[in-house]
Amino acid sequence: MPHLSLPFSAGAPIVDLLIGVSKPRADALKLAGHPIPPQIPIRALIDTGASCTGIDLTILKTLGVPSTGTIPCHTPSTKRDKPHDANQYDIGLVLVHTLLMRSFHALPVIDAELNHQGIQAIVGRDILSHCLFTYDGQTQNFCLAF
Amino acid sequence: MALEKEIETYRRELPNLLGNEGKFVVVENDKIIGTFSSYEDALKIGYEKCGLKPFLVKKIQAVEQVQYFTRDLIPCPI
Repeated sequence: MPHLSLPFSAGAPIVDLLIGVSKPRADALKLAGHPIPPQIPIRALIDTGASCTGIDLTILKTLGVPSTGTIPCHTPSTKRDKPHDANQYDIGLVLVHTLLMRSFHALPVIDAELNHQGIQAIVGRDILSHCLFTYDGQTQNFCLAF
Repeated sequence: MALEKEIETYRRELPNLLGNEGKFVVVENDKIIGTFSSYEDALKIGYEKCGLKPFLVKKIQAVEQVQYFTRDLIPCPI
């Protein structure tokens, strides 16, 4: 099982990802004679407190992907009976590994403003459900196997 | 608001769609394109039928599942 074994970065488990358009959108762009935007390398925080993955809006705008849905979300700031509707987008995502990349060809993600936190994405439990994640706070290392 | 028409169509058609609860529906304007077993299949057909025009992909659920985040995310305008 390929795995990433890395030290914490800024005290947190942060991984490198490649973000691009989903495969179905890439096929549609190709068919329409449009260029396929190149994948964008980003830094993402592994966040077990997030039920799904979020990407900074600037990355989604750079890729030119339109929203293909909305989804209700609760955060510490939302009222109990009033989740906010977040935009949902379809993207392609790659977990970067030196030998074997793990690709998600069509993943629904929400948009968020994350750049000010020094990251461009949070990896939620939708991706972690395909992985084994070990968090070693004592040695300040983590391991992500997929 | 993006996909306003499509969301309205989904809400209107939801009672008829509940026989396919758990599947994914593709909606363009006021038209249901179809229902599909996986998100990827729905997306594929959505792009095949609608090209680069806007369309909605939604999981069919009587009660929509809410996503939870333990950190605050600044909502982006819809």
